Amino acid sequence: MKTICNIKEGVLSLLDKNCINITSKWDFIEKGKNDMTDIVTIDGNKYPLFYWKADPQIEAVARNAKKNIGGSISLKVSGLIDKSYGIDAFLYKELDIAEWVLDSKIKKITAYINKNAINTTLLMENGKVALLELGSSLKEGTEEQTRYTAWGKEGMESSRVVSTKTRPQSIYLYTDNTDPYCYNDSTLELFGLKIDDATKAVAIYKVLKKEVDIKMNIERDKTLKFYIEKVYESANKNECVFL
Amino acid sequence: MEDFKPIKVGIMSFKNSHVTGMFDAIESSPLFEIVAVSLSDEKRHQLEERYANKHLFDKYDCYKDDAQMIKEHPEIELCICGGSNKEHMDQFRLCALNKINVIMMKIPTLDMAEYDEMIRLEKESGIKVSIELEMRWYAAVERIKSLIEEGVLGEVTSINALNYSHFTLFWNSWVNDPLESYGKVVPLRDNDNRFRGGAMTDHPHLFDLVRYITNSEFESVYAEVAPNMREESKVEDMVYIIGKLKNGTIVSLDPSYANREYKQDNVILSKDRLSHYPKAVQVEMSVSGTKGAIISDLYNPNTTEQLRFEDFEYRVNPRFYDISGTRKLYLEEFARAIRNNKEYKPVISMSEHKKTMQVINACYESIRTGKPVRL
Repeated sequence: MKTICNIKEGVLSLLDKNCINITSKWDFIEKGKNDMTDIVTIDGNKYPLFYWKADPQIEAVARNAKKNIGGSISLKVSGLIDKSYGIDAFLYKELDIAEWVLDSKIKKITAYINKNAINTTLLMENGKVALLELGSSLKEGTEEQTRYTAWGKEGMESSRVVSTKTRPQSIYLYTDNTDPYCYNDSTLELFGLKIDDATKAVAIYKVLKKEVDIKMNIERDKTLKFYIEKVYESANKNECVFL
Repeated sequence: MEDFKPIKVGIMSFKNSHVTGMFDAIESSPLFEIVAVSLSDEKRHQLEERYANKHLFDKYDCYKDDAQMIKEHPEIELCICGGSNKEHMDQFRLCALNKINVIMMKIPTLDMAEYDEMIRLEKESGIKVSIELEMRWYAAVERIKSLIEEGVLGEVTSINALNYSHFTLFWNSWVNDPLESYGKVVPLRDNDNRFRGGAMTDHPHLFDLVRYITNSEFESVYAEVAPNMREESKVEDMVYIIGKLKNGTIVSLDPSYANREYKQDNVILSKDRLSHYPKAVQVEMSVSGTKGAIISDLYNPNTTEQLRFEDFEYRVNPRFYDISGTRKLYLEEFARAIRNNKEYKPVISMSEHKKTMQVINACYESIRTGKPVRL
């Protein structure tokens, strides 16, 4: 079985497997320390990559929040990410996810911030509420541990199954250590990629096959950065901020 | 077996849903003898049906009035004050005036004048008071506290916790009555048809645990209510609290009634169905620090999953050692303190617990104003 070594190889594997020929020149630039997310370049133009939109669990929460739980009322995002990702970049991602899941713009922000931790409530224009509890406190290289739960009038959907606290792995290998080695290969085409990298490969693949219009991300990027400013404003003033 | 004269117990009401758990533990302990209970006919019938035992209360003297029970049973040494939150003041006063020791529920009262009277009566009467705050009995809480105190996380930057459960409104209607639950009828805010007394009132544990684990008090809180999940609910059922402690740690607390209950007018013990969500009660905590993080299940992650009964109900049940329940241990420790007349150091005193009541009220004030509230 061919092992995929990086995200770009993963994209090429998906294109090849699906017999898709891309004529544009493209590249993937991994998020830098001060960036909010990774970048995809297409014919020399840079676009922020909203890779989380390709995460099947988050997508399921977003989809079912709109359709299958009687209309959503709230979203809770409870997460930890590695220190090098940065708390602001983490916030950037989750602000986008909140509007996506609850299908509404943010109206009011209230936040508390303490070094590598941000807790913020978002009151949406449609009256729904999101709570983001975020920490960038994990050792560099540690897998992100974030749970997304949407509640509705007739149900709920969550990216963690009852009683699980961390992302389960598909294989636990016990050999020379008391702790297991873990594997979570997602698909054969992306065999060898860690799951978060596999998600990014899928996200880029969807952009290249024009299933996703990445140009919209440029405006969206500005909006999310504006929201981040407001989160800090709320925390610094210990006041709610209306948008 | 120790030579121990059983403590004579009276139970004032079975309205609080934890009273049956205490009733079971006390019934099976040689350190106690239940001599009398006070409950309405309706509640009595409900419990007889729940236990599938028409003779459940035959061996006790049954009353419909707490005062009459106390008058006719001067030998009672300990009472469980199991009424609605509104009823606790009268029950506590009756016990204090008759020098009866008290087991008080997790919300003694949210009226601060009443709370101060309880503290005064406790002191003047010399009775022993134990508050049934069950999360203080869990080993995982102590583990997190130790890890923080050892400094393994560096400086703690945030603590986030949830306490989810079902909402017992269908079989225990007082919890959906703002007067009985909150003590008075107070709208959540202008132009909102809901009232104080819901999930935040029922789940004080998170506020208590944060204070206990950090040894710090709240400085500022902000609470946001989501639209209710339940049309039937007159009180808040989904509510989020964020805030900051005096030591700089930020917090996020979620005491919501997030787990959808069965619409039933009684809980039948043989089926013990509480919520559609497979795990009826959840208490979890995550902690971030400058050197690392904790993700935890405080309510026992050692579970089994089940498919059961004719409709293949799916359940996830925390499993505990059967040597002794934590509730029984807590009760028996209190029994020994009463019988041996030793100074009793409760896990949490009435005075200490008052601060948690104050934080809850501050959160309700935050909902009312739509702004953070400083304590």
